[in-house]
Amino acid sequence: MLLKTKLKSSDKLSMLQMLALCPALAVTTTISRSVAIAGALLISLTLSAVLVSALRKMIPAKLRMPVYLLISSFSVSIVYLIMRAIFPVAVTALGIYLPVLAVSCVMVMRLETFSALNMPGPAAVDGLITGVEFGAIMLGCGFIRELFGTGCLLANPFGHGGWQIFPAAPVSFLVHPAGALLLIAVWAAIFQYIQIRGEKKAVENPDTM
Amino acid sequence: MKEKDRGNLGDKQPRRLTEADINSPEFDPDEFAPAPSRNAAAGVLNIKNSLFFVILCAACALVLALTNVFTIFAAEKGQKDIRKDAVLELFSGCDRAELYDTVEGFPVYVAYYKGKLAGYAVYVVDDGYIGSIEMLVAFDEDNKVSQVKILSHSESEGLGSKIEGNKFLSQFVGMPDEGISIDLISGATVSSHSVKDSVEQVLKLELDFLTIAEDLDVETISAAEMEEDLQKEDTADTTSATETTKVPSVTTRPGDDTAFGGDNVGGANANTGDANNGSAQGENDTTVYETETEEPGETTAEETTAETQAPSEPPAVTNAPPVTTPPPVTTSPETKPPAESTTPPEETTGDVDTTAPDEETTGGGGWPGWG
Repeated sequence: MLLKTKLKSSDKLSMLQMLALCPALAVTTTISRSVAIAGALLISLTLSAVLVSALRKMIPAKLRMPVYLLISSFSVSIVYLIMRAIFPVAVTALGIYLPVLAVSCVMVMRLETFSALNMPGPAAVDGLITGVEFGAIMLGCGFIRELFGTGCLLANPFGHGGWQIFPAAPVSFLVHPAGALLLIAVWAAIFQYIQIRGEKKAVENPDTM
Repeated sequence: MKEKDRGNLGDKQPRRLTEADINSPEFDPDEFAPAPSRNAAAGVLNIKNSLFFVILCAACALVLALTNVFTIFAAEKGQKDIRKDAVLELFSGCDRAELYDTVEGFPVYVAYYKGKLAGYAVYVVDDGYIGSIEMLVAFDEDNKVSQVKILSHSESEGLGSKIEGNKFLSQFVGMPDEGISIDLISGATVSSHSVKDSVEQVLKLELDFLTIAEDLDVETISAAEMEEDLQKEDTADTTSATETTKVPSVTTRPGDDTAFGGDNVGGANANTGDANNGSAQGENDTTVYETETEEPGETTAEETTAETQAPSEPPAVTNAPPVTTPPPVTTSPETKPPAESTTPPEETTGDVDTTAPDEETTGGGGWPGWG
């Protein structure tokens, strides 16, 4: 129920907004890294969404951006500290891109437009859904880039090991950030196409909507 | 209700921008623009807001500090494990790496092969052009740099990142020698200079392999001995493998003999190669460590096939032993060659002329990549 209302009221997917996709360029060269960054964002976004929504009546309107920043960096730091203890390899491989999630635009956007106006429950669901969306993009990016960029699958975050699927990298260009940029562009084009077609249909027969 | 939530918003303030507003068809940004105020800071800087912010900061800091206290132990252990793995990669063949001590702030790691000390590596961090450069400097039993490895850096891609390249890092091998000068990378002067500085800093520590061994109370093993030991195991494996695959040719002669003959020939080649190269000993050290990683098993397999094709091998075998029998304890160049036996035989397999060891090693010809 909650999920349905959220999905209906939800604005476009973050894919179409092209928000916070900078880690996709830099980090998602392997699936394991993608999972690490997506998990980190999922948890920290949900945590900060709940915090902001719980504190929304206390947060002074004019101070809200500093407070959001404080809360998001707080939750990212917590996730960072815990991940550092549990998955040191992943944290080392992610480098700066894990702490930098604190100022990720998708984080600030969700806090500002949804969490600050809703109860903690829906805010948490919103955070989870946004995190899953983000994770899906990261994972898709990681899968394609790892498979076609290196020819392996499921290597560790440093890019060692893994199953050799292709004898050599079929499209080694994909490993570079520019390759990810092209990949995302292709995806965005496909999404746009589907969306525009859907809108056209809706215009033709408005009853179904 | 939303209006009520914004209790501290004055009545004169514009309505808060909401999601519904943005999505509504008659969305007019001007309607929501903040009213021009003579003193913008007046509404923000009051005791209530400041207090709220301070308390929130303190609460966050408290929770973070507690989390840090509970996770710091595991985190440090994890970091050390990563470094130990890196040290093990530097000393290929070794089975265990430990933190030995922290000398003047530099953590020193030691690598063991079957419980014997095989070498040590120093961890060093220095500022690069953009971020800090973490690296490991590995030393062999002669207290010479055997390898330098960049663990992490954030230098600019394509320029500063060249410091990771083998071309640059291999210059440091054999480092305390007088004759070695380091060429910095053009376009990455700061980055490469930082690496050079770090290595020099580490050299100033003047660590000693034997002192460390005494301190730890363990036996030592030289790279050559370790390689020999590893090769024995490998040849045992590969001969059995070749026996099964190459049955017709191997049956003409005992497989084990040929395999060990091949090893000796390799040793002899390397020895003469060493003599030829003479002055460039530092470079030879590199080949020790680089060829180690190139699966000695593979090349020995090639050797055995080459020998089975060329029956003129036995004389070479008889020639070899006198050359390769220096006492293994001396840590002079003579002990290293057996480790290098992997490269020259590859040359011999190219042209099956495996008659005399002297003719095969024509100066730098036996050293691919070092011409």
